[in-house]
Amino acid sequence: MVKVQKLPYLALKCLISSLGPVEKIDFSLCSKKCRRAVKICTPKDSVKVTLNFTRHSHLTLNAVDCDEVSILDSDKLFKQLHHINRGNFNEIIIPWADYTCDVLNCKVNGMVFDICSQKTLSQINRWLKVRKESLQYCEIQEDFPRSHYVYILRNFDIELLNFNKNKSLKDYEWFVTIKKKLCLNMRDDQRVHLETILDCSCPQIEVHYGKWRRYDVYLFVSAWLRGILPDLSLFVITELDYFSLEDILRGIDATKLDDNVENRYIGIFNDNKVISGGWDIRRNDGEIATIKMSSNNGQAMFRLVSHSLFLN
Amino acid sequence: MSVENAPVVDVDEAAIPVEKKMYYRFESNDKKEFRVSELAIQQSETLNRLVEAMGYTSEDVENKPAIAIENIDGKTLKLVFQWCEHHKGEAIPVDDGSVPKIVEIPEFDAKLMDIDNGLLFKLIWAADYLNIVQLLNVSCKKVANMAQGKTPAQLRRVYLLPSDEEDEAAKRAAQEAQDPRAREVEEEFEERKRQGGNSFF
Repeated sequence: MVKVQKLPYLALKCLISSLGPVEKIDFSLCSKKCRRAVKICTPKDSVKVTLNFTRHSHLTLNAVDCDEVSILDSDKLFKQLHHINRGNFNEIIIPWADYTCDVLNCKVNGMVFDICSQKTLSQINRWLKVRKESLQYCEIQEDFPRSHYVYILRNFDIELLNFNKNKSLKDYEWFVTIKKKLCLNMRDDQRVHLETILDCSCPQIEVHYGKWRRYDVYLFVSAWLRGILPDLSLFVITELDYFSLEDILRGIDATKLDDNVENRYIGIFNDNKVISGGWDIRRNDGEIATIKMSSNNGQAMFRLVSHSLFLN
Repeated sequence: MSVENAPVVDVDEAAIPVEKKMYYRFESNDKKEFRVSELAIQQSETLNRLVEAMGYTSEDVENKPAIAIENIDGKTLKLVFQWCEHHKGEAIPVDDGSVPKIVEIPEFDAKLMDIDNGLLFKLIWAADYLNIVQLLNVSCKKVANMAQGKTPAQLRRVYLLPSDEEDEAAKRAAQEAQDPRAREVEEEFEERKRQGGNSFF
């Protein structure tokens, strides 16, 4: 047994700084003094909090300086907030997230939706408005009903929306009616039509399982050059049949880059990416982008990266 | 002249003046004396500044009384100086602000800190007092590791953390100890409230 509260301030700060996010929360629950100590000793926004609305709702805490993700599981939440109905996991997660963000001096980073009632969605909406926060990341899982994610899109302020094989997603046509400047990642089995992309106002789009043909890519590049997608700075589509871009660039003013020309940029998930070689194309307003078709294990990927995203 | 053609000169190693290592003497609050090398002392910012300010020569170190460290007992100071001697010459870490703080406990430190929690508490206190950054880091990491997988109730026991009620009671007791009339005033106030008075005054 160590008399932690009798430690001098610097030692207590050093001890709390060595605790992981979950241990910090456990420590904060010991008393009001402990809560205050954790709050004082935790730098602002050093932890990312994600709310997971699934069959067993939970919070994930991710320290910014460390890849490790910690889970605050539902059982622990129930033990601490035992006055709340044990049957409804979703009800407990909002006060719990509120407490966590408050103690760890951080904002809500993201939400993952698999199972969640309309009532809870309304509560989340109100809660986010009270906290005056936007979501950096929102993931829609496979079983989440369409009416619910339409509600999320219409009401929540989201930077990156990730559709993960959502079964109720028949098409993306409805999506274009929501004119929001968010980054969109579609990991679905349904085909995403070119027309949908052309009507989008998203600045960054990644489509996995696009199944586009050569002609679709040609039309897309032509549309970008004509300025039909003025906001789009990053577009990635995977699972195409490989073809040479030279075929679609005939008659277009494009400059071929050597393969040793490497440009770094930040991807849709804030990760570091590199595009080597490819072709530079210039839009009618002067904006330049590099396009590239690359192949991996028989599946091709087409990328358009605006030079405004380049880090070098 | 190239290096290959340079004449070879035999060097009498005994003739080279060897810089004499200086060992400072420290005394704990229970009058135990320790001899610590100059290099080891550099691990402690407090002691390093102290000896620099004193400007002792080798003769002074031997002839003058040992430097007293009033707040630390011999058992703890022994551990502190063992640690400093083992890590002498190592760079003093700078806090990069990473969260959680990334600290690895070396094998030697783990063995050194294989002690009861009371002594570990004193070691942390000493590391803080003597400003030994890395010793403070590893000792706090050891205590932080005790929190892994514990519930708040278990943490209260491990870290001897009082509950809110116990904190309140301790606060009241401290106030009463300071002002013995406080309790009488409070009782008088409660009595008047029971009698239906709206204001104490």
